[in-house]
Amino acid sequence: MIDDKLFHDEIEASLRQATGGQLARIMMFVDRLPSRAKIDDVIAPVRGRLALARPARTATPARVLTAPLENLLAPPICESASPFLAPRDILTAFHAAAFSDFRPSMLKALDDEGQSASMDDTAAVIALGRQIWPTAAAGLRRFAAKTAETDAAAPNEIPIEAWRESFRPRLAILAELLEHGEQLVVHQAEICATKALAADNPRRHGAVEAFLAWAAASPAVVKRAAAAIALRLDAPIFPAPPAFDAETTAEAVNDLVGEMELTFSAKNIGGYPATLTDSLLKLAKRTALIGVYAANQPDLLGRLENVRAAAVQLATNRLSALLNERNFAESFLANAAGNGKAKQEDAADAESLARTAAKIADAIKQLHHDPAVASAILEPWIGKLRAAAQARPIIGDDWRARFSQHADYLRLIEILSGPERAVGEAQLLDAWPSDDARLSPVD
Amino acid sequence: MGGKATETMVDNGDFASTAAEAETLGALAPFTTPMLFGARLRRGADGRLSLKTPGETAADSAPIGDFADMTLHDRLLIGLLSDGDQSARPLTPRSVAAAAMQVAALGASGRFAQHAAAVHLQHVEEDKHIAQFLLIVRLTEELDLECPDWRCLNPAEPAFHDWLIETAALIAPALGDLNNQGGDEADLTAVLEEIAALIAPVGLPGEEYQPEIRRALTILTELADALANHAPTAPLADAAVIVAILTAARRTLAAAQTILTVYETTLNNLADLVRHWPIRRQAVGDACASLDWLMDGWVAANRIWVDTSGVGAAARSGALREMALLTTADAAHTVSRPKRGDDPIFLDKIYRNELLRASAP
Repeated sequence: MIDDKLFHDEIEASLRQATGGQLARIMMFVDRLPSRAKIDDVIAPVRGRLALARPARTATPARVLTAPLENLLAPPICESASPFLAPRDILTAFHAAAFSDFRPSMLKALDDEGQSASMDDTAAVIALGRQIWPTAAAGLRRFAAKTAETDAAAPNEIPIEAWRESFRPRLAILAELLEHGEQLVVHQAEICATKALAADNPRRHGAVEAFLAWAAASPAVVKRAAAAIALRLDAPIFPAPPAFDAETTAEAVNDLVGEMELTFSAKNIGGYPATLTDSLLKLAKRTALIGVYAANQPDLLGRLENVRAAAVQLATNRLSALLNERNFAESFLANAAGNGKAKQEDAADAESLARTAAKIADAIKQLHHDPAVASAILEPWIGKLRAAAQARPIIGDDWRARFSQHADYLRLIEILSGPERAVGEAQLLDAWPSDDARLSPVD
Repeated sequence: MGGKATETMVDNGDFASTAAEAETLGALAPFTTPMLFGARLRRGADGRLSLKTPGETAADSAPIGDFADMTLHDRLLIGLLSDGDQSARPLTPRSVAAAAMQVAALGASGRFAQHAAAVHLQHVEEDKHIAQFLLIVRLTEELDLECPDWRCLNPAEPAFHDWLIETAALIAPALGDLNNQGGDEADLTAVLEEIAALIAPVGLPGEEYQPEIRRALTILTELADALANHAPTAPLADAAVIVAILTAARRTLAAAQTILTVYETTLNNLADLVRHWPIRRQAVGDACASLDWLMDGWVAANRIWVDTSGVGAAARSGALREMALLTTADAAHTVSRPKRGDDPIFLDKIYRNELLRASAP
């Protein structure tokens, strides 16, 4: 709120400018009303958080070069799962080898051109790609031929930084994929663009079928890579479309299962809960997809079961560690038990942690045959929250006042265990309307 | 304007086909449950609520209680709208928004939404004060009266109300008996308060201050321009949905302009409006209500659009489809509605919806 004197001074100053005999509609005092500034304060923290997405990336030469292979990149540990996977640590060597035939001035020109383009603009990526992929493919093939003559026992003679011998077999595959880069980028973009559509939307199926039909008419390497890419885009390829053969499908499925086995045998899967959750849910989706294919293949089913068990164990360990490490926003619980409400930032932190924990728990429920496994980890924390809420003195006769008093706690329960559980907890606190009939209108 | 008891302010068939269409679809409900995004509520003749999600046929409808993932916020909102007192009232975008503010004020959709609801409610009250102020000042101008000094007024203070009464006392004799009913300044004050409450979201013509509906129309105009600029460079997959939203935007703007033209003609003669308020009330109310129906969903759609500038094309495509859910009746633009556990970002979407509703009430 502005100072009264300042307010009056400003009004008087503006009134001196009003014409005689005419009442000017001075709305400055309107703008000084208490809510006006607060509206901006309401919007500002929200800005940029509604999209749930990453910002667009500029089309640098390195990104454009890698675009056809983006969905084949995998953690280094998965290198042995499939020759069609590109371990992420290959990128440095890959870029160096692929750009070895480019003059610096040419690279600079491409970089300048890409600054005004986004990697999501398929047309722009292809325009740049046409200038990059063919030459890069030739550069990779020349590099592969040249270094094949080098004594493998003297890898320090390979003039490329971060080179590993295990990269060598992949060079020819990467070169061939770059030679088909335009079609790969077009099809991958189309499938990604249809991801927002319902699973049974014909446009989504059409995009996948078009991709696989094109791949089926391509060299064997491209065909295999396309199957691998489609599976990684969670696109259903079972039963295989008519133009796509069962052998390629089988090989791609085996590669994917191998990748999942390696991923979930690692002690640490990503440094962040978001990576773990993402991996778990991908596993759940891919298990469901592959299960359709593996119905008559007991070996494959057995491998999938082992992957599932390893993933669940990893996830339950990580969930317990996460909750214990953060101690469920200690200050939030302490304040929730007192007379005052927790600070806004503590409430926000607690909700953020609850969402992370709930996502991991939901992923475990997707994978484990017994959904109680994840619930068992969360229950002690729900108990602590309940105890903190019940320890607070009751205020107000109305359910609304009690709901408002316990809103932070009930929201955490809603996030961790779902709204039905939260309603039950609210009813225990007399913080829910008693007439449930009002909540089930029928039409 | 004539003195017909049932006169309406509308004489353009185009308006009827747009605002009436919006009313037939039902009021957009600011649900936070992802699967209920874009759902609309209607109230039947028996006072019971019906809910419909885009693309759903009558045969698909399930009782609202079947949605196990329905958030606390949404359950309370439906409960409030089904409440005995509320069930007797027509369901309109404004009544749904008011109910949502009450639920947000409880904290059911988080601290941020709770704070935003308090600010918004304050804003609504202040818009009424502004409308009262402008009504009084404009009346004194029309009647060529000397308006008491308002220069030190702050509408947030009691002195403002005293000024309203004082000025009404000045105006009453100049207006004569209100509608020949033998009215006095107390009646005039009550009439002015009622008019102000009704027109507060739309405002008076020619004023610099833009209340809620005027701001929404400006936002819609800017959104239509932005979509028209985006269309030539948009991916082919987005072309149809952009065309659908743009068409709906332009129809809405045209229909709103038709209503506003007649509305402003009426309000340009405030003395006549006040004198004949009992028979003018319905027409003004209908115009304001029609504008509410027309603007339902556009501010939220614009919020989604503005927030995706600078993000990837996939996010932008998803945003356009969500905007279509809010602003068109075309079921072709429906998106998948996974349940919790199927969608890795289900909880994030709830949070996103809470922020959206808070920042675009």
